[in-house]
Amino acid sequence: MSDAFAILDLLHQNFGASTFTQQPTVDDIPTLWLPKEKIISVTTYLKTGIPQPYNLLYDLCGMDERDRAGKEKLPVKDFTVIYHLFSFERNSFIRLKVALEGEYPSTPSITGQFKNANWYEREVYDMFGIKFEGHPHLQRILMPLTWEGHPLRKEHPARATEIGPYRLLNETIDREQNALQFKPEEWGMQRESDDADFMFLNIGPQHPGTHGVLRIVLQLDGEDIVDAVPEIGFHHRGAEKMGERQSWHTYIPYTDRIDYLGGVMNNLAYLLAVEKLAGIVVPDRVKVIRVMLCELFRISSHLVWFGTFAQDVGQLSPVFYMFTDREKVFDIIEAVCGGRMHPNWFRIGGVAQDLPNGWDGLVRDFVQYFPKKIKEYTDMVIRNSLFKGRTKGIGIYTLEEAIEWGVTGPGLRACGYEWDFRKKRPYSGYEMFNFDIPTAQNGDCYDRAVVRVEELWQSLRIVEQCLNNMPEGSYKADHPLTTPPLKKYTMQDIETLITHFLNVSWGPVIPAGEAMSCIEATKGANSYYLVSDGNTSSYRTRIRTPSFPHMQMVPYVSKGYTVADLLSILGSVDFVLADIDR
Amino acid sequence: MQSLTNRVKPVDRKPMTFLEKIYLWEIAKGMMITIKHFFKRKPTIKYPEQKREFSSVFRGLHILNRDEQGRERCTACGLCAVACPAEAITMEAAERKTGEEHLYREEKYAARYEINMLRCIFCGLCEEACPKDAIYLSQTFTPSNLTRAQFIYKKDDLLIPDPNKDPEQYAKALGDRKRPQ
Repeated sequence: MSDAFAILDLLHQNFGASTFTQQPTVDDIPTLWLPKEKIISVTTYLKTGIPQPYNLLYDLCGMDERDRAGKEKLPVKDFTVIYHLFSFERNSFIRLKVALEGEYPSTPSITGQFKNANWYEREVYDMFGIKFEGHPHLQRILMPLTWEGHPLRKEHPARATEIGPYRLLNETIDREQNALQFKPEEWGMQRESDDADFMFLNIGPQHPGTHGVLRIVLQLDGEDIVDAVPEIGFHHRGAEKMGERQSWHTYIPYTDRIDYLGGVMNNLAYLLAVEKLAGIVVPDRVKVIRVMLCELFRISSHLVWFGTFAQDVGQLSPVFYMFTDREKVFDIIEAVCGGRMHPNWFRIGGVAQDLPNGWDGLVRDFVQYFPKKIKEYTDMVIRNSLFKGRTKGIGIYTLEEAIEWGVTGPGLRACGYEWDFRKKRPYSGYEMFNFDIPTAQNGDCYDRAVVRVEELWQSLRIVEQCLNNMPEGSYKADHPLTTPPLKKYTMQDIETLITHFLNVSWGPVIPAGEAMSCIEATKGANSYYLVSDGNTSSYRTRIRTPSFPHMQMVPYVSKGYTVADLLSILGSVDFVLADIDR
Repeated sequence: MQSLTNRVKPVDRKPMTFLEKIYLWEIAKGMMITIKHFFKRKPTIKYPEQKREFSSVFRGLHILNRDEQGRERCTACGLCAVACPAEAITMEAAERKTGEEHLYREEKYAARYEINMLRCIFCGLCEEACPKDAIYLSQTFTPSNLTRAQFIYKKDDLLIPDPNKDPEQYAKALGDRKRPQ
């Protein structure tokens, strides 16, 4: 990662040093401000004009800068659009920022450069009202089409109680119903071809195969899928807006609920970014505890995927057996964290409590019990020829397509690319562990399944290493911003009691700055990009989730397959609607 | 594709054998597995006759604690209410009068204390915030109810039984939790 800044020389040579303004950030990602007229040429250059290109549009988000304290030091205007690009070959990120002026500004769209920019730009439009010139279909994506205002603008209320009671009047019903009506013409779809009338079929929002509240409108020619339009946003809760309202500490329970199968893994992604901002280095024991819990949650999440995927393609029993085993993981998690699916257990600078007495026995029992179950499930599902028949050769995408659409995680590894952020950009002490990166070659549904099953073995290996090598030491960092601090520093006398009161009511003040974390979550790369202006809550919380780009790719992958294949594809993608909508 | 490190682990992908191609055989095999599970120990329990054990750190229904003499520990400082991410707690403070020393431990106490269990997310931040060890989350969950109003737990619903009057119930409500110092 030492050559992360080498790209700056190239950019200066090509576009002139005066084009860019560099901004120092604490996460060592080169951050450049550039005028909006240059964004297309710079992204094109970074993607195609250099050796070891930045070929992944990792994230694209907006920001309302109008209330930001201390913005005089930066070249900010009213709004900013932030692009995160990633280069696999360089193993480095670059952050581009475009400052926009005006109440409802506009900027050129980069959908011509990156396919997955489409949904991201729609989201920025939906949340901020920023327009993208040249976007093929700039429409709201998360909020209802009838929504007034743009939620992430600072003037938009954060609570329902600030808006006043909701009333569903007769004319409102008609308007809302009309907005939900799918109009193929808006999406450039034909209602008929020369020899066939197309049928438009709704799958969802209430359909077991969609694994949540997701609606996919299919354009069908007989049984074959001509095109598909996923409609998301039914699960949108405004988690990013809540981040601007909650204190740094009380936001942790909200992160649990982003990828609700990933549990503490969400806490980790958030806290790594907070700890970068605060400059906290956690003790080794904290790292290993966190890794162990994360890998247990990876096992639990993959078990849910495994069972439901088998159910999607017609095997009804496995899901019950796998949920029983997931319960065994939850027994450990409950004994350690006190919660099950929403453990809310990691804290700024550490974890909530030390491991309980007897935790090692519980984990050891599981490590001994689980291998024979994975074997049983592999025999039952993966080796089953009916399962193979339903998944082999279905939903294929190549490595180039995967990167173009922003696929990370098992979906990328199933294309034969050995990329795991735990290995390539280790965080939270993953460099201390021995594990392999499973890959497969064909990028179809079957390969994605096989990669995940192999990941169960690898996670189990990591858990076993944690069990055998748990370091001694403190479960919290010795840093003034550790929240809550160790008990011995609180509630002793009036001084420490005042500190405790301030800490609980206002919460810690995290130094001004920007940082992004990047972890290998259960479904792919998960990031929190946090902007602090030196206050008790974040100025902007951006959550980059893996499911969002994966869902965006589904229409592209499912074209030409049948409706039954679509369910295989959806199952193999392994998404969580709460993770898509946030 | 060229490997980036030597840590890559290609997964095995054998072609289907003849037996696998006859799907009927797979159906029989699947049935065998299901039938085998008929004779295994049941993973479920018969709730409500039988109840599962919760871990000692389980975050369930809230309890308002008393000290050994049966006095309420809460001093109505409001820290739990501000710490609550879901804004589920409301309280009203009152001043202790002479003659009430056996009821309230501190000079100020909670005259009204309510938790809305429909808002509560059982994160345990109130317990972490409490400087008086007056509130904790116990090893049981909130029972179901018929109306929304019944989910707003009042002080009487939350208070632990008096250890002097009802030591048995007190010990039961305290669970595995260490006695507060």
